Amino acid sequence: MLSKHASLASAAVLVVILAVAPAVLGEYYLSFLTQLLMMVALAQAWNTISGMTGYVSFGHATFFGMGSYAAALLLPLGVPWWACLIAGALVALALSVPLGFLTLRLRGPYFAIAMLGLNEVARVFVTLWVDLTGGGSGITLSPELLPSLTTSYYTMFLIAVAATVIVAAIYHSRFGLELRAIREDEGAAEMVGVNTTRDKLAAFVLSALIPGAAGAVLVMYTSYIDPAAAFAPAVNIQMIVMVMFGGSGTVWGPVLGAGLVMGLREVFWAEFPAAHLMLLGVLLLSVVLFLPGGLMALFTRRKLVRPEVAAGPQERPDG
Amino acid sequence: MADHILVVRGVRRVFGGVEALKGVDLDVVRGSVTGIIGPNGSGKTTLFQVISGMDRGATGSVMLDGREILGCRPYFVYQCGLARTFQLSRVFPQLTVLENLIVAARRHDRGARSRALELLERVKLEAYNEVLGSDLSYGQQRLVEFLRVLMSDPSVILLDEPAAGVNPTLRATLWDMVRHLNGLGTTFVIIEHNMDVISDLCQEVYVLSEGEVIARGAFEKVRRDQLVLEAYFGKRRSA
Repeated sequence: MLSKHASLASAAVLVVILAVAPAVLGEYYLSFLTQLLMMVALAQAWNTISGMTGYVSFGHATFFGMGSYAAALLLPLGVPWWACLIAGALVALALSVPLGFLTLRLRGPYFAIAMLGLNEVARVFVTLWVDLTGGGSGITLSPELLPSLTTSYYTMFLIAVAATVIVAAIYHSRFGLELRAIREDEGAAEMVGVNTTRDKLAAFVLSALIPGAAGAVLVMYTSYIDPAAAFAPAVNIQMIVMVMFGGSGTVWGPVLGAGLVMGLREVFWAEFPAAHLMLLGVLLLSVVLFLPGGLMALFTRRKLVRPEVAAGPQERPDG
Repeated sequence: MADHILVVRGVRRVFGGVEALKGVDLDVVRGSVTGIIGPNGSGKTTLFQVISGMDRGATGSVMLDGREILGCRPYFVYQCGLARTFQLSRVFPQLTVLENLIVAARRHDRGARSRALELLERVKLEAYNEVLGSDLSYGQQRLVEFLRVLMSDPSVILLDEPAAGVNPTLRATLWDMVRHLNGLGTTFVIIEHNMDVISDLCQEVYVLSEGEVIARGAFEKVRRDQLVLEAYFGKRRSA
């Protein structure tokens, strides 16, 4: 891993740069950075459950969408934007508890498919409840209800920082160690005293809060939401790709992944508009094939095994 | 009257049409080393799975220190003081050796790190504390797995063929640790195919065959038991 001092210094420099960005950047770049910070927050949220425990979720956009709709429905009622943000997180939290109880009993592809199905159910549910949500036409918010772009930027910035701090705190805690043990071998983890049900549920609930809040900010930033955008499968895919690209189950992997994927996508789009997605795909494939631990694996220092300490030849079990 | 820390009564486990355990009884004396032997497929590991809570589909009764643990989840059984190792090594491959041990300590144990380092030092693996589990040799993995269960200071430890695949030096270290801990009062139940080890360590031996206890007692007694000989070598043809 990166040394503690290097990590803290990098974090401090990054925070200062992002904090002063609105003073020097134009609207286009500020808008791009807002989206980038949103993806950092979403990638960290996905990392909390899937990176730490190995339970690969294809449905975290559900919490993102629910947060968006909570804000879109509350803002026209005169609720302050910051309260809408909290409401978005709370709606996601309320949804995550029963869903976690149900879905975390499943493992591997069954969990992944259940979460994918959940995302679809949420999309259809919101589409069909026309009276409340406007159905497929979505909800358009009046501009005077919305905070400024700078406010949206700083709010997303705080959410991304909070998500990263949460992941760092978990990673270095006993709870994080238990989650990583679950990822490695859930049965063995339970056999050394880890209450796997409690830990997985806690990680799942924490991982739902951030997308709920980020979804609420997004709707204030775009002033429009519809089911296709709120529950887009592409949001799920992006979270996964960015974490895999940067380094799953690490603190800085999702930040690195989100930054590089978003940045490269922008550059490829500007330079090679016809082939930008293909180029990005080739790059992602290369990282997955040649760096399965993501880019963070490049910074990982592994202690060498000292074979002279091992006594005698190794035998294999006889079954 | 003997003080039994682990009492198993009428444990039955059926998989589809196969009756893997047919009403097994077991009495483990506190502070003893009990051996479980038997041919492959006789139900030894299934019995460990049931006792440890890894398999919760059995009927009967398993009492640990007077408390019913049959059907309880493994983490609860572990917290009650019963730990086990697996037939094939199950260290956490992407956790360091130190993390592998610390995760098995009780949740609020502030001395977990120093205890883990002390255990590693005792088996001369202290140089490996930052090495990933996957980078260890198989024998070292088995030893780390054994040290892991010691982190919570359990009163009963089930060892499932702990020496399988371990080189002679590490194997000797392992058995020395078992003797040392047993001397301090820890109870062991060991599945093992090496009869010298069983003979040397165990005060009582249970022989399982086709899901049933066919003999129990001191090793010298069970090794001459006709049913045991038949289970291992088959029935003698009549002349």
